Amino acid sequence: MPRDDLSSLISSLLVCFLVLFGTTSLVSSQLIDNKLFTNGRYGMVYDALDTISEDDVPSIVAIGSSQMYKGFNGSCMADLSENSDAKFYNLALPASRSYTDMLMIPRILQSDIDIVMIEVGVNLLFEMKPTNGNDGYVEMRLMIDTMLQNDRDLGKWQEIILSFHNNSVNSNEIERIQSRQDYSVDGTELILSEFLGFEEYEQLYYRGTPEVGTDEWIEYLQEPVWTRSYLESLDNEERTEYSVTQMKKSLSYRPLDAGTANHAALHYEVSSLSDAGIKVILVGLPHHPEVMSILPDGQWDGYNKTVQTLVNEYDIDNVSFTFSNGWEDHHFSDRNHLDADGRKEFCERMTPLLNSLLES
Amino acid sequence: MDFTSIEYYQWFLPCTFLLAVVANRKSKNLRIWVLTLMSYTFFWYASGWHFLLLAVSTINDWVAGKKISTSTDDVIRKRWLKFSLSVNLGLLAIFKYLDFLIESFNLVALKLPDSPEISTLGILLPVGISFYTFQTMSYTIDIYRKKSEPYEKMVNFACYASFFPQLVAGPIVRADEFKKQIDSPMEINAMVIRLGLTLIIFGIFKKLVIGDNIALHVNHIFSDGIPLNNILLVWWGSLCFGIQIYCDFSAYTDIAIGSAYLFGITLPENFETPYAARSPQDFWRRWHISLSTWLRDYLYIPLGGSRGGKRTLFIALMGTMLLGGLWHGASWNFILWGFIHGLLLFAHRYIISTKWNATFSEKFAKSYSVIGWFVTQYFIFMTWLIFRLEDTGMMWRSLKTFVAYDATWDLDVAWESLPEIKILTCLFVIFFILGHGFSGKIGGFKHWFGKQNSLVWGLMSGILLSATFLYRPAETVDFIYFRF
Repeated sequence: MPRDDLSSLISSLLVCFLVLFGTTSLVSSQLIDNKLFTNGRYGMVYDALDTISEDDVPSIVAIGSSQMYKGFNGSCMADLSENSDAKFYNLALPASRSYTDMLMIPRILQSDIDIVMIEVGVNLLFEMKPTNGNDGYVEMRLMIDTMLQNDRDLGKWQEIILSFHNNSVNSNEIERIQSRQDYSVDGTELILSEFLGFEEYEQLYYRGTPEVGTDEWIEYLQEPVWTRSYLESLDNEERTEYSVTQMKKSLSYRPLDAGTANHAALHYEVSSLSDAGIKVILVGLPHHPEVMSILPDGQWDGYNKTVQTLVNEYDIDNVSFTFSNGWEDHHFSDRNHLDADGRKEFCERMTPLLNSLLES
Repeated sequence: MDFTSIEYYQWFLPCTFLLAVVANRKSKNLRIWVLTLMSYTFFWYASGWHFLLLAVSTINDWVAGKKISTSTDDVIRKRWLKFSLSVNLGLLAIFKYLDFLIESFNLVALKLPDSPEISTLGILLPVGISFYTFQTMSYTIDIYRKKSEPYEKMVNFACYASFFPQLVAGPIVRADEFKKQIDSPMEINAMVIRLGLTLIIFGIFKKLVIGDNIALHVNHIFSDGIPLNNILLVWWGSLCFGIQIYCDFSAYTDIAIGSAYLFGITLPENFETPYAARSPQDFWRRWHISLSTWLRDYLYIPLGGSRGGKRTLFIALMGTMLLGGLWHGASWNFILWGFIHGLLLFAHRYIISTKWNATFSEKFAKSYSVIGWFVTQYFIFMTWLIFRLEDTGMMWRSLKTFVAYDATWDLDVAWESLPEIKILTCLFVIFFILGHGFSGKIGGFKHWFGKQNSLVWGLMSGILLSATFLYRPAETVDFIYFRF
């Protein structure tokens, strides 16, 4: 083949590949954000960690479930912190657990974070089975998280993934691209619906996340949008009924003391972070006093034992508000979650401990 | 493995290309051997042990071709032709039509007292059998008619019969066309490679982005629980299916032609903007051209064609279209589909022979053209319902609705009955219609695009591939013509 012909062919292919990789990465991230608008928080973690890695101040990150999400106010903590530069980020996600949180550990290790607060809760230490009804959520989380990753996010967490979840995990770029495709179609449809006025933008925005890199985004990472207190919205009759029915549901939590994928994930999280010199603090969030008053002795021993094992094995700090006193009805949004008062209380109790950890 | 599987692009096509290039440097024969072996490998991945049928068909026609060409005795020549056709048609009859015949027999037997019911054999249809059988049959017939010479080497003929780009779903290539090309050394240049890649990228985009996304609407509309008495819904369903089948099949052809380019082989075009056709005859000159011309040369003309009176013409047209319909599959739907196309072709021939038609077409040329296009496409899309709907009840209901008989016009119901992804699909349909029209105007968009400079080509290919990565639905729909 003549040299001119060959160079023309090579330059054609080069332009083609540049356009291909450029547009797929640019467009798909835009589309994914839009698709995830209605539950945007699940798609924000990796962008958040990249943002956090860019600031040169002490960073404290909280991960965990909706209990941590609704309990942690980073702005309040920054106000009370003795280190005026320190920033406190709330990366907790509703229904999350160590098994799903472990996927972000490699990125945390690369993000120059000083302290990681890991929620250990009574509702998070259970064995996952394909039939227990929770897998739709876990599959969705694994799919979204691994879809937004890149190769540097791979790690030992892959060994903990249960075999029945393997199909939800994207472990190479081709699989990630394929998963993004599903979301691209939905995302484009959503953008078009919005453009043509078929969907209310405000309604979508409320549950979404602000645009990455803006001031609202930085603020959101510290102080996300919280729904208003559920308990406050109830009248007396409804409140009584809630006490009789819903409060007792917490009693169904029977945390195990070891041997589950969630335990393996916790050990992986703590050991990886500790080995990298990042301070780890285990945090147990409080439950409504009514729950605690009806709790039979010993039911949550598995939780205590799990925490104790982690503290002893890795020499880390633990703050458990699960059984501590001083939590009152007005602190709670529902049986397990704090409201604005509760967040303030949590902030006032937690910040001094974080101050001392930052100083040490 | 097929043209939508990643393995084809990841290893099969690049490996075959490299092997063919290296072999070509050594000798022409080695390249033919490589292509034949790789074609059989492709067929093995696509169809498993059915590759043996291809081998049987190849040996049969190779031997018959040789015998016919070397014999001067017409009786012997005819005997060999009959033998060859019997083997080919016998394979088709057994593997494609036997179960259908048994089912049809059982249907009739149900009406008769004490008739036995015969169990079907559950024979799996070998991939591509209709295509390669027609291809090899034309070889023997052409030699018998003394229109062409047999291949000198068996491996060359085997390469023709099994050439992987067109093996599974065409285009059906004539032996002479292929022979000239395979006998010449493989010439590789940037233009040809780029044109090949253009067609492949175009095909992938057309199939995965437009065809498969629109297929989701088709499959949804023609499923249980959808109000098929809604005319807007049925029109939308038939429009979508028409686009789906075109994108699906023409994409396969594009990828086949594009892949063949990489090996220095030019395959014939199979489509020429068929939805721009202004008459049924025009449609068949633009749709599945390689099959249409095959049917014309080996069925329509031998049946008398247009050389006799109206009766001969009717017989030739109906015979050709009925068999053409049956070629698509062992089902009464395809027979009915062929029958209606036969009637349309005959009606068109009749109309154009009238005096008032000549007057009208002369006086109102533009209106005549628009009306011709509209009426043709109305019937084409109506017949797609017969092609698509295997369920008889659903088919008749849709056909009635299509012609506004006992139908409703509720737009809200139609909109609500569509799948979740609506707007994007509507955009794909609009994009297709505009693209189809534009392509017709410039004589093939893909050819125009293949000749652009490096920057434009790279930019457009990149955009098409990006769109494919972003908008390919989660589940790829099998190529429709694989069933035939």
